[in-house]
Amino acid sequence: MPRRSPTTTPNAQDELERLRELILGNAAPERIQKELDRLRARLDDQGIRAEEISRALPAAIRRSTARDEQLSQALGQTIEGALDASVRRNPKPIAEAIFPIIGPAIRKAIANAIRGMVQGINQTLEHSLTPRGLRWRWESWRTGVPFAQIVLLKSLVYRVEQVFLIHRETSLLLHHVAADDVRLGHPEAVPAMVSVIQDFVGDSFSEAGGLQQFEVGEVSVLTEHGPEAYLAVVVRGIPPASHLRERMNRALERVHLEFGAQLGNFQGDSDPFADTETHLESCLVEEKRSQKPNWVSASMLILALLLFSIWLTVVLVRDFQMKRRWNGFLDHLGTEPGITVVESGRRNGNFFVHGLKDPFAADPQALAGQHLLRPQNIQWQWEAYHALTPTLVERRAAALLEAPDEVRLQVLEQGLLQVEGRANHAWIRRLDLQAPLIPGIRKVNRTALQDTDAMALEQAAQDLESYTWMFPPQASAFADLSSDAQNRWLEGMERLHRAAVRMGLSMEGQVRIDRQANESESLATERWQNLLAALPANLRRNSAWDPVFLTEGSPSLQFRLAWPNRHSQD
Amino acid sequence: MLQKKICLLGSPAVGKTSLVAQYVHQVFSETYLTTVGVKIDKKEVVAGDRKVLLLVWDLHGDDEFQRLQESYLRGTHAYFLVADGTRRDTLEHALELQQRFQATLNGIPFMTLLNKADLTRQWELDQGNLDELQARGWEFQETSARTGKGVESAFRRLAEMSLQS
Repeated sequence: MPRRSPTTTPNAQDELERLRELILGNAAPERIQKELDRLRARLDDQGIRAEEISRALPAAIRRSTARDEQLSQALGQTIEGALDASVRRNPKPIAEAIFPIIGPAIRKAIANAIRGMVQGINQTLEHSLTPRGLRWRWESWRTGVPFAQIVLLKSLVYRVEQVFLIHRETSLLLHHVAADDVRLGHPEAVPAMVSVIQDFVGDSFSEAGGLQQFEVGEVSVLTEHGPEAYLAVVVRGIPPASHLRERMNRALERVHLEFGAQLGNFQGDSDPFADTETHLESCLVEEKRSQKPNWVSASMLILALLLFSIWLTVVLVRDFQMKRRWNGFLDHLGTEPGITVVESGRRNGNFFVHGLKDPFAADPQALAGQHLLRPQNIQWQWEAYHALTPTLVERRAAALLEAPDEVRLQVLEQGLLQVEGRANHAWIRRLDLQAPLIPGIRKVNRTALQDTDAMALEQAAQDLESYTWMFPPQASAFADLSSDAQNRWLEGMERLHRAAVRMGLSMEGQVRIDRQANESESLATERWQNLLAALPANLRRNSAWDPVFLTEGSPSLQFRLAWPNRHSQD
Repeated sequence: MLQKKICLLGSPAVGKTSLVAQYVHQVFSETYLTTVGVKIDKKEVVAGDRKVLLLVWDLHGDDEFQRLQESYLRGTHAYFLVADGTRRDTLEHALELQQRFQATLNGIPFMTLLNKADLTRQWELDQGNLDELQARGWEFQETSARTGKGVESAFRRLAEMSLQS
């Protein structure tokens, strides 16, 4: 495309003039030039440009921020660098600037930490055995209030539990804060009632200023009034009124200062007052009771613990010893012949033992005594049975047979009863009869047992056989028998008689006649009668003498001494 | 939370306390009525598209023995004038109360409840009188504390009026 020449024709000059008039009006060229110079100076002068940019910058930033995030992203690194440089140079301005933010954050963090610590303390107290802890626990159980809350209440001098910010004209609740563990009822309705009570009391006593404080049980309600709103704080315990009121006034002033416009236009919407929380929380103060250690209680507690420990030790040691003795006793019972323990143990604190027991076994109660156990503290239950162990059989035989002292009984294997020693004939007969009937005895060996009656009989017989009564021929009276010999014969007869009676024996004797000398049988009878007359009276009285000639024409007259059924006589 | 203070005004025994007894959340004992002359309850209603918590001040009936305390009316956003439909004088007394507390109640929206609507046979109110008041801008609502008729809608309507003011 061909470029046109910049040269102007007269016609073109006119057109240019017209165009200049249209753009610049009728201004003189000098004025235009001056305006151009001014514009150039504005562009060239940095001071003027800075001044102009500073005026336009806020609006430009607002528009950019509203449009997108490019400006924020662009400035981010610059601002970080600036903050970093500023803190390095002088941290104070930044610290002061962020103090209002850091303060609540730190308080919140500390509150959380303290809450955790209180919970730890509560748990410690929950497991403690101090009288106070137990008393509080009892109170908690009785009232239904959680134990942690009781601990908190008891360890506090006072505590502001709730803070109400109340609109003065409408009595509506603007904002409300409460301590962490406080039960909330109907906080919206409380301000109205507080206002009513204040108005009622104020009107009743015609006093300006209204009610400053009233108390309900352990709780006090303190009020502080501002022009548009007032604070009502609920305090448990006895608060230091001046200190607390100072805080309340300070908070109220801040609220009026920062929320004056919202208060003046309040139409029931409490949302804008959520930001008063920090100020209201400044009134949530508390003071704890100084927990001085109670040395008297502590020493009493230590003493009690010490005594308890001693008592516990004694009880445990005694119990241990008792168990050891009991086990020793049971072991003993287990080895004792004639005793079989079926069940044993401890029931309701008392020992018991059940089992089988031979009547001739050792006395378990006596055995318990040997082990230092009180038989009366043991419940006994025995079923009788016959033990077949040799010791028991031997003991049973001795008891049932009533063996004389000189007799020794011994039960050997296979139920063999070995009897040794000396015994009279009657006991030997009893042995023969009863021993086989005793449980556990199958055979009796009494070969080593001497019959004292048999021995006496034999001895007496021997003694008597050494005597011969001589009669003169054809005479029936004794001859030449000294009284001494006669007495010994009589004594021998007595012994013979006693032994024979014990043994149930009869005796036989002979009176001889000499037929070659024509001695008659009647002579024999006379001699016998004389002999009989010489016997002691008891022998004669208790005896039946039956003289019989053995055979017709025999030179001997045989007679029999008989004591039928008289074994126990004499 | 949007809150509004609502008062109930009327002669003794027109049924103010009965109106609130069953239809609001009772917070305090009724003994306050005879002690401090007012009982405060709360009721949450939806007016328009907003939840509104009404703090209902049930003021003790004004009579020769106990005068109603004007301070209780201070700051109210709306109020009910309660009359007993079976007793003509109670409506007159409601008018009188409104006049007496003109300084405090002026310009505040209100609604007149004609209570005991379940006893229409014993109705004593003069319709002409009611029409005249209605022409002056009064709103009426027949209510029955016994059957609950009109109670909910009355609270809702008063909440709306309080928002519009």
